[in-house]
Amino acid sequence: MASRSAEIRQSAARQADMLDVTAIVLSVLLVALVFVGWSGPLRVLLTVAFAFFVPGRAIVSNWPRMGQWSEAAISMVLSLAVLVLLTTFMLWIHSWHPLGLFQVVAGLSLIGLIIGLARRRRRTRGPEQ
Amino acid sequence: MSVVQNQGNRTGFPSSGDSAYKQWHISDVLLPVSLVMWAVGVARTDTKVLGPYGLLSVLPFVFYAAIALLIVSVTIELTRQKLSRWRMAAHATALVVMLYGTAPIVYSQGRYSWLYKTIGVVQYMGAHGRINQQIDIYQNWPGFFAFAAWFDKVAGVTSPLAYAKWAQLVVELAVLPLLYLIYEALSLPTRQRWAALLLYSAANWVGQDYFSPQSLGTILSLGSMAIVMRWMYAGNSWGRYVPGRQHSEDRFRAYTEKQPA
Repeated sequence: MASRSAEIRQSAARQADMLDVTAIVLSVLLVALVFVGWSGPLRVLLTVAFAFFVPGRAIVSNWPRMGQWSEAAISMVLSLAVLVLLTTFMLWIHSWHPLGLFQVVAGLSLIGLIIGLARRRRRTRGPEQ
Repeated sequence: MSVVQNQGNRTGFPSSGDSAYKQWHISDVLLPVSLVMWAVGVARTDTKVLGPYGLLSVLPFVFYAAIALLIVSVTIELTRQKLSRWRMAAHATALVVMLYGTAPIVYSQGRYSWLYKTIGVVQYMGAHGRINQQIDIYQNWPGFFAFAAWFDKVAGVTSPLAYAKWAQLVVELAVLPLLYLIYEALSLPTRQRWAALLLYSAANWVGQDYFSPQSLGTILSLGSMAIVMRWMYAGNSWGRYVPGRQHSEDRFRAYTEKQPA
């Protein structure tokens, strides 16, 4: 029973790590494309993936209870909610800087994802030490 | 009946180490074949000769045969004793792609005339970086439009026309995991969850999923529902269900082991 639980926990941690790394790669790629000013379908697809996944993933990665329910679905909802709130707020305060907001969100998301990854690693290794 | 058998019947999924999970299914052939038939059907569709019944009348026989084959495949999969989560997810995704991916492929521009009003508001906000509440009601509810204008800048497109026709497909794919989460919180048996998911995609004719504020509202409201139900709803079969996806099987086993026979 205990080994089965540990196996499930490890499998869930591996899955969560994979999602975090995917979100980090997505962010870095999109930041790079925006920085060099490259346009095309790849940038549109990466933006869809970023908008639907990355900021929410950074939250879920640091909020394990949400991740227990669903790693992907809750990330998507939180991502969209955060971005809609931030863009609307930016519009209301008459400070429309979409690329600036993107850079801030991408930066904070990367920090959140790395912290989430590190915390999970520490939790997973904890019982063995 | 043993606890393990109980658990298997409840989840409907084999465990990860179960060889039945990895064995060959007839749907492994039927699903790819139906997708290929769908692609052939879409490639043969000529929208220059639309009749009074619209796209339905010009879609070739092979397109409908592909849908029929997908239904047969998913029905066979649903009747199996142990469902494969990945195969069911592949069927649900394929159904959405077939039903909602056809129009954006065969039409050069997005459907619905009012789509272009939405695009106009997004472009206004992108160009001016502010709202004008005197213009129309859209400017008083700017959440979706501000988000879409931000998206355009980050995606490097000058207008939502570049991607708006794909919105239905993206929205319908996005709601699948949310619906699954809701059905899971309702503690529906696995077969009913997947059947409900497929029915939603197949019978959703309202058209609230095009590039519009209501499509974003649909995703966010389903997401809110999923969070509330997972957080607050104990399940409609108390005594057989404990919330929590990752460890629900173990929790269920622990729970049943504590109960008197």
